[in-house]
Amino acid sequence: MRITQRALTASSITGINNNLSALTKYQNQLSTGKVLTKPSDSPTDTNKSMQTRSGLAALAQQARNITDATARLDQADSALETMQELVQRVQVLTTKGLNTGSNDATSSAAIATELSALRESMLGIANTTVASTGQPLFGGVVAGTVAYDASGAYVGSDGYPVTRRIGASESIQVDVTGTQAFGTTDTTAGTKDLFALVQGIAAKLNTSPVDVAGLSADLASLSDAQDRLSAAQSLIGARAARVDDASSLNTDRNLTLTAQLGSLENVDIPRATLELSAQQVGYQAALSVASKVLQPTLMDFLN
Amino acid sequence: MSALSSLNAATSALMAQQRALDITGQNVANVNTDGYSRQRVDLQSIGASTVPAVFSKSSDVSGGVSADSVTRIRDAFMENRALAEHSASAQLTVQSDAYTQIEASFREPGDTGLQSVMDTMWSGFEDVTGNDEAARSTALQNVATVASSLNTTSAALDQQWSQTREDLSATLDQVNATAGQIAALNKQIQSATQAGGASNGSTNALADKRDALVLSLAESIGATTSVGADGMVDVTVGGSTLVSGSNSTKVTLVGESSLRDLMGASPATLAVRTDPGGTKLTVGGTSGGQLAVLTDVVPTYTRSLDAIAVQVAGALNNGNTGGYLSDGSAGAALLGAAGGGAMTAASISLLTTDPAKLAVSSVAGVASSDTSNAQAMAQLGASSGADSAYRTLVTQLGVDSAVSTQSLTIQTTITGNVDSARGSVSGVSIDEEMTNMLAFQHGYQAAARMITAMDEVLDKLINSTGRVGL
Repeated sequence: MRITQRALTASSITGINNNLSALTKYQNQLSTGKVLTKPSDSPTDTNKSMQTRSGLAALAQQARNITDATARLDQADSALETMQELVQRVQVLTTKGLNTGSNDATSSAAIATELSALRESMLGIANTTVASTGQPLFGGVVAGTVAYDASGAYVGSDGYPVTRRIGASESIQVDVTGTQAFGTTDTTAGTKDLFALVQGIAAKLNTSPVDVAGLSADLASLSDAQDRLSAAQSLIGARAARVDDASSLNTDRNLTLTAQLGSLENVDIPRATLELSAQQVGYQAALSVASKVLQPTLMDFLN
Repeated sequence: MSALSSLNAATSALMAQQRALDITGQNVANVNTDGYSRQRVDLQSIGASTVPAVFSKSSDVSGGVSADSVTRIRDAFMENRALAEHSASAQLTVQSDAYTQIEASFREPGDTGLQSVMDTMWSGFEDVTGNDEAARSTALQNVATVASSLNTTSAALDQQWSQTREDLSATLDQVNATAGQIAALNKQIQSATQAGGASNGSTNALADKRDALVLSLAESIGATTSVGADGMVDVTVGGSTLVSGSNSTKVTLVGESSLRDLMGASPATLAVRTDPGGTKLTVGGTSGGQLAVLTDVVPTYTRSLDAIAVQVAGALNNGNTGGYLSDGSAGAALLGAAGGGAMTAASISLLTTDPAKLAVSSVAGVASSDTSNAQAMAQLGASSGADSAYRTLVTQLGVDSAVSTQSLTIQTTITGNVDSARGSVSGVSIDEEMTNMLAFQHGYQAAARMITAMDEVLDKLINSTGRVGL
């Protein structure tokens, strides 16, 4: 092949350009810190990266759901705890009221008044609202802001569990309805919820003579109500434990996916730096060869 | 044979060496000129008459040297290959650039791409936990963001299409101008050739200029050439003649003037046609690349994006109509086509701005604070397949773009090799010219010495003969 000066120049320029574009590639990677900036850099990695990003977004949302679930469960737990204490107080007062021998009508009335006051606080607790939405904690999916109206009747909406997604395929119910925790009032079945029960006890104590048999039955019912509260509490406890597990799982998964995304998108700095140096050597070699080859012609040796 | 004939031979040698030196000078002067083909003087000895006379005989010794013929050195096969490879390079460059631009429009993978916006939208439904206005408002706003993100990407593709169409028109204007110049040069070459210029080298510069134009035509429209009469070339594009001798035909772009028109037309009519004549041309080079971008690349991705828009809208509308508002009434469609046309990535828009219209509840008929339908809608991205369809689209784009870049890299190497092979035939080598210069210089000096010698011989003959004893 016949080699001309122009061919030498052209091939030198091509070589230097190739070296320079390789340099630019690594310089770009190192300055942005990313190896994956557009789909064509690596289509398969792009797909993985997009999936990982979606996964991370879902995890972030699940973490928010977990926070919300934990808040609701904690709130329900402490409400039920307070309710337990109040029920114990009601039990003590009812037992005191049963002791007709030492009570006259005035002291019975006093007990009744205290019971009514206790019932009001119990209703207040039963109408606790969730801070983020203003909905009652024990009202199911009721549209209003209370689970029990002023008369103590249940106005909540049962049958639609409030759930939160706490994992990719795991949803958990985060509410306990008033009927579950405090019982139901049903005149045909003869059942009363906690508030009707306390109201009944107060009414019995307000009547003279006091209905001792009725009060004894109510005392038994109170014990049932307490059992119901405990059952609801342990249900909430079990759910809270699941949410805790989901939370640590969420954190682990988040770390894994973040690391995965990093390995897909982020530049391997030592490797890129090494490649950059190698390319630099190549570039300098190309430049020095060009300067040596392009310089001389036969003219330099003719007199 | 006479003394004068020797003088004559020496004179012709002086002239021939001088001409050869001239050509060497011309070659050296054009060592860096683009498209210049080196020239060579074909020295030929002037022999005796080739047809012997009947009654007289010419002497055996010849009459000197002739330097009439100047050859332009180039390899015709290599030139044709160069046309084909330059055309392919130009076409791939345009396509590769187009893919890069589309990739930029999709902004993936990253925090600003459609994927990220959709992720935010789907998961945002789970933030609706009750009858609070703020969370619903955010969820609805997220839907609006997805719609506007689709609009933006579609608009970017639309703009790319319009720009490419303008570029193609400009390329064709340039093609017409170049074809006209080639026809004009053909005419000049014809005149010069008929005046005998082909052998004495006076057409060489014109031919160089014309061939450079032909190469630029190959790059812009994929032209090929065939040799015509009197040193002219005919230029054809996809089998149709663009330049025939000293006549050229114009080409023009006809057909749809907007991306949506083209996508709606069946079949699309956008094409490069001759004007007059209206023959459809199969173009290559830059025009071929631009035409492929207009009729294939951009419409393909716009269609895919439209399909994503339809899928997202379908999933969200199904989700919302399947649920109930907080007052218990049934939900309505959330997304629709602006202007009432077909649902596309360009037309998708939010139908309501009222957060209360978000059907978050599954409780029919009665007011409730249920949000289980919102929770279900949060899963639509995965279950409706919209997310994975979009990922497939982006992966496909990545593959297409990477393949196109790879092809361009390979083609660039091939074109470079052909160019250097071409250069090795027609390029000027300074070393070679220097050596030639020495040879011609010595030839000139020797011829001059010859004349001096003849001079001395004649001097002896004329001035010293017949003077014996004087």
